[in-house]
Amino acid sequence: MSRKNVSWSVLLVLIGWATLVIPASAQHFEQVKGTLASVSAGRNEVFGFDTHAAVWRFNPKTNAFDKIKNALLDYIAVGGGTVSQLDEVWGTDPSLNVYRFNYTTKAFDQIPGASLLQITVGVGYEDQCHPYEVWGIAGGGQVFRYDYCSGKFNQSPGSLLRSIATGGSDVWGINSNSQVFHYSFAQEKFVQVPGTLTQIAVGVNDVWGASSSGQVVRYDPASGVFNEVTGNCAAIGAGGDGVWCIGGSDSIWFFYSSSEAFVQVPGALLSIAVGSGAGVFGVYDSGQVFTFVRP
Amino acid sequence: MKQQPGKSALVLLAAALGVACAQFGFAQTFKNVPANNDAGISQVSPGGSSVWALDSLGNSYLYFPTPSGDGKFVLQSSPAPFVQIAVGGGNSFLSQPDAIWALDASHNVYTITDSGFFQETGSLVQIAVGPGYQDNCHPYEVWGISPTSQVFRYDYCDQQFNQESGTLAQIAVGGAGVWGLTSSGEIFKLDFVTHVLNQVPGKLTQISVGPTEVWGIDKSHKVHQLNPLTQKFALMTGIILAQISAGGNGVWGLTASGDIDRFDPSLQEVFGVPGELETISVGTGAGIWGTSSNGQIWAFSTP
Repeated sequence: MSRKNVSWSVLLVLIGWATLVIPASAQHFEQVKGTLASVSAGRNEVFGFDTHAAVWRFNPKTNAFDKIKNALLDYIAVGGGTVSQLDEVWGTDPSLNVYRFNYTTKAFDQIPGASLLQITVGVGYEDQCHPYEVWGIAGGGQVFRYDYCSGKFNQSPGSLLRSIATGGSDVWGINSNSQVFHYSFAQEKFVQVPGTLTQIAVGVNDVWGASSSGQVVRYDPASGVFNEVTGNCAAIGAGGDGVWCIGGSDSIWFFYSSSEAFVQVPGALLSIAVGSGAGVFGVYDSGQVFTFVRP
Repeated sequence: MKQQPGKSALVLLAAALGVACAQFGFAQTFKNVPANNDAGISQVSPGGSSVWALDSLGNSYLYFPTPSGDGKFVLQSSPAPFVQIAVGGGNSFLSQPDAIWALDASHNVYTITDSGFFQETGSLVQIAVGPGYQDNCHPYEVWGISPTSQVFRYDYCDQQFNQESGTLAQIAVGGAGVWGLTSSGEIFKLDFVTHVLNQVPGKLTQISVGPTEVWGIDKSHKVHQLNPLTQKFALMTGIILAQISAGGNGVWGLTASGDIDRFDPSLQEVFGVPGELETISVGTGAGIWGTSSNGQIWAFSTP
């Protein structure tokens, strides 16, 4: 790389930083100490893992992430908590082993016999054995739901998914053909919903998705279909802390319900995690972690 | 009477299963939360990171959770007896505390600072707090209604309430914007671009604003939800409530007799939750809280 190219690179980095560092009195994304590959936010917990699969937990006292000893995970899900109720934290490792965070030992306990590629966690309202909705997808696409009474994952028959999301005790998934499915607790199976999506996000009382072209859609429960919303997202997240999306050039967008439109927020992120009380966190290019703050 | 062997086995099995589940202690219920209160609690207000309560004498209480998830309300110093407390806009961490605003019976306005409650200039009969996304001077959206029904918005740069257009009898703030009702039930939504309150078709007696959705109750206690496509309120068939509260922790309501209902987004129906409450309030992270007729505080817990 020539000196001129290096100078331009430095300038571009500085310009990039300038877009992130806006006056302290504004609503903005502020960097948090730590370097992560992915982050997940719930109500009172934020966990992430780095490129070496080491697991980190956000420490609000130091405003930095602390490493969890002896934990190696490459998928983490956090959710279901309130101010009087702890979040559940689940994860999977590269060998598809499944772990649940133990607040007493501050370590992850392996769930014997469970093998999952992906996991999602949210609040559970259905019955006593599901105080949190914990769902996962196995390597072959089979879907499993965790039963807190038996301590085991039970397979949800007849459904093969490649991604799954839960929120407000509602469970949605997408299969390998991008077809969309909504879990019916009454029928105890996933029911197909019209449309194809590459990504789905379940908020408090709403369901959002993005198509392969990045077109944003929002589910209309009255008509049972997804309607297009003005916006183009490479990644979308929804939770109690709103609906957020990553648009072109890593731009950050917040869905402003008042105007029913996405509004750009200064900064740039590659991925975004929307909590339900813990706020909005994101990861940028070299693993820098940012959180949305107001003064 | 001699029991049939099969029936006995079933009873035994049911009892064993009951014990098994009871051992885990998992049940989605409202649990009583202690408060060292001087009088019965009349109001509880959850936000993103904190929960405040008022007793019938106007004393204020702040909830202190423990690491295990239990906690209690502790009496806070107040400059005057409060009649309303509004909490919101924060998240769980210190970088983003909730905004806390309160009113006394003389319509004086207070907000919390590092040294406790501080009286702000202004005279309001109702105050509402939510997250702010508009500009540097409004990190939280703090809106109020004056004794003469005028509408005010707090500016954090000028540190004062500025009058906005229109008059309202009720105001609600959330991620889905600023909404209000007139004394005759007409519905208005604030347009942040023009700063005009625009009327929306329909009439409601109560309105509640969640992160992305708006809910209301009409005079017949029928529940309506704003359709984001049409920007009109649609009747939620078969749902009858006397109170409704929408927040980041879902949509909850009470019937006229105090029965608790939770809205299930999957089925678009409400489902009863054990217990009876006099008031219910949904936070955005702080959970679902209520007060009972005997002045106790209750928090919903799934485990």
